[in-house]
Amino acid sequence: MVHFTSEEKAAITNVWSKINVEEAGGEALSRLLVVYPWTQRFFDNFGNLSSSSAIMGNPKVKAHGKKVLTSFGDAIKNMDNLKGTFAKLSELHCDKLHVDPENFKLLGNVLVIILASHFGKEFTSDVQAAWQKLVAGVANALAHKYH
Amino acid sequence: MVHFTAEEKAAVASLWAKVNVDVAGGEILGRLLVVYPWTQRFFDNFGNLSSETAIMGNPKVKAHGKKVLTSFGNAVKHMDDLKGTFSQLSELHCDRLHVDPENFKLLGNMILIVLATQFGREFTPQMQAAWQKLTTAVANALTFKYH
Repeated sequence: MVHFTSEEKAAITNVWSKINVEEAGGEALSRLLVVYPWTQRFFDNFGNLSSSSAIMGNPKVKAHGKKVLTSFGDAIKNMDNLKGTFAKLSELHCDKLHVDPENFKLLGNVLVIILASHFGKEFTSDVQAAWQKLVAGVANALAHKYH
Repeated sequence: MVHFTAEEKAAVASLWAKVNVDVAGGEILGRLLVVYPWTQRFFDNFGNLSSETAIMGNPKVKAHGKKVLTSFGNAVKHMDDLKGTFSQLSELHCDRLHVDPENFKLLGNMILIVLATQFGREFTPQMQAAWQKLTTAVANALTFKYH
């Protein structure tokens, strides 16, 4: 089980409290679809994903991005029990959505990059390390129920 | 062989022109050592790497970071022949330095994150995609001579 120190938790929650989940969620999912275009295959019914502007402006992408990042907020409230928190979502992503768990790491990377671009110098290496640990923990938790 | 479009090359070059290689190099290598602590094993003779502050302030880290990022500048100048450009460095990293090539991807991630902190909104998804493609290709080129 991943253990977060109190400094790591503080660094994470401090950044999280300043995030606009709606905006950041849309940006995270859009960047995933632009930077790793094969991920678009999971969103066939999202309409126009034909260019990066289309993706960044697509309302379904924004809405789903917000949903995904809101769910990520659960991770932050339950850092000591990520596997339990994401058990059902893990089953869903395996059994129904058929998502290769490698993609969870890619989304984690994209999220870290968005935080870096939003927070600049404030996103120090310590803060980055805490967030990388969290996104890796979430990716592992989401992969945990795969069979 | 990786092919970069004219837009991708322009995106990479425009950002690269504004990078302070001295400062960014040290930041990138420092973050690698902080966020992925096992990488410290390659830098035994660098002195004090005992804390985030020590690492980010360590003069050997800064100097070597500058060297690494300067070398990366060759990638930007030779985007059409990365394997040729990094052939000797690839042999060096395999035969003499014994670096697991997975670490090249980690360094690539750090480059993106430092660019994101430095350029904020200017580090658009298209920019990220172009730079992601470049860092992945450099990682592959550095791995190419491994045996």
